[in-house]
Amino acid sequence: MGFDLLNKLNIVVAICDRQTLMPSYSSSKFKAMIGACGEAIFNLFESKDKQFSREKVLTVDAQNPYEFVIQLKDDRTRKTIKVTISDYCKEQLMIVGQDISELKKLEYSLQSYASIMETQEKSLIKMAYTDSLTGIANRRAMFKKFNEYIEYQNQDNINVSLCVLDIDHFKQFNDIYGHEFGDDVLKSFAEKVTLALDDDCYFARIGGEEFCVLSYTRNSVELNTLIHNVLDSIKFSEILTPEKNITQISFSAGIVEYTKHGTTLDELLSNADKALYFAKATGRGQVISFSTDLLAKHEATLTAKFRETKR
Amino acid sequence: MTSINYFEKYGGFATLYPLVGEFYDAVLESDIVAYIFEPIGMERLIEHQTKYLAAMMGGPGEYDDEKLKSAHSQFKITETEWNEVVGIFIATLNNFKVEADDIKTLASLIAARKPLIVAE
Repeated sequence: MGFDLLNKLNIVVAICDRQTLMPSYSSSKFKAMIGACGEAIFNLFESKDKQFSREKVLTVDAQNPYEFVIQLKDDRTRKTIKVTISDYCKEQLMIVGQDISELKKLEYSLQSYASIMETQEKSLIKMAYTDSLTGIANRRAMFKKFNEYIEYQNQDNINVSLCVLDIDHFKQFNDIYGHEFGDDVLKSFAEKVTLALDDDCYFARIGGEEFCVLSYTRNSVELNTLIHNVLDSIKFSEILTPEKNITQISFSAGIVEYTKHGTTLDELLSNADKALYFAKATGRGQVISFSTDLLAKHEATLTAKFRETKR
Repeated sequence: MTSINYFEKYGGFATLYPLVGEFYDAVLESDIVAYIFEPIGMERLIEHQTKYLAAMMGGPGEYDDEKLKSAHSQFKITETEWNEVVGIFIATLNNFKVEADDIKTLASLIAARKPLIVAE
């Protein structure tokens, strides 16, 4: 009959009577893998597949084969067999059984592996955009967020401003109480500022003790008011030093507005930094909005001092 | 879970899935432990074994010891059953030509988790 090749492919075939499933041909492996045809095979299918229907066998024609999967088990082995009953000729049907146990194992293992890889990918992406110390967004995330937001906004109707915050005298915390305490200060600062901001802000740590707030809905004046409130709440909060003394922190901040003071984040950060340095150089613990006047007035005298006074 | 990446060394997922398949067959053929694995179902068991083995061999994913403990506590696994599964696992690694030293390390990683799996 030419079915010998199928024996080698874990596929077994039988040709049976359409009504009784009595075989006119059954491959050498068919009986070993599935069992005898006739009433016995009806009983087997019924016992292994609760959905099996004798009526459905009678409706099989060239366009409508009947497919189902059964699990067979003997003492030592279990097999997953895909059964296809299809049209063979007017009086006969063909029953094809394929051992898909290995395929199923591969499928389930692959599914599991794909889900591990998906989780892994998500966690890598999260790590790439998170500051590991404070758990807030990092510099890379701020650039991504800014560029994505600006790209999809109508440029005529956009109200975006940005603030760079720098913790005052942070170096002293590190020098006096050690880096561990410095880390605690950073964590506590990030937590407090996060709580003081609203959903219209995106907050990130962009450098050592330098943070950035991006506001999607405020101009520089409105953001200045918000950051003033944040500064007040930070100034009133207390931090316990390793020696159990109460200390307080403050920050200086520089504010810029999108398009007025720059159109790229680099440009905006650079100008916010200038306002921030001015805030540092003129007393710390204050929020200063960038302006060209500010530059003209103070650039000559402050430029040299900016870097050294920043901390 | 290990500093040497056995997962990469032995061919990654291409080796892992037949290894899992053979381990799956072997535990279900065991007179001692088949009854534990039998009711779990092929899909869940293969999924669990793939995840755990990939992580244990230094591949992707992590396996939470607490989850390992809670997943096994209901079975009240005995010392004999534990030894049987470890024996099957080592035999499977041998069949896949994993080097003796590497089998030793992997076996010790498994042994370290014994208290999480075997009931007191």
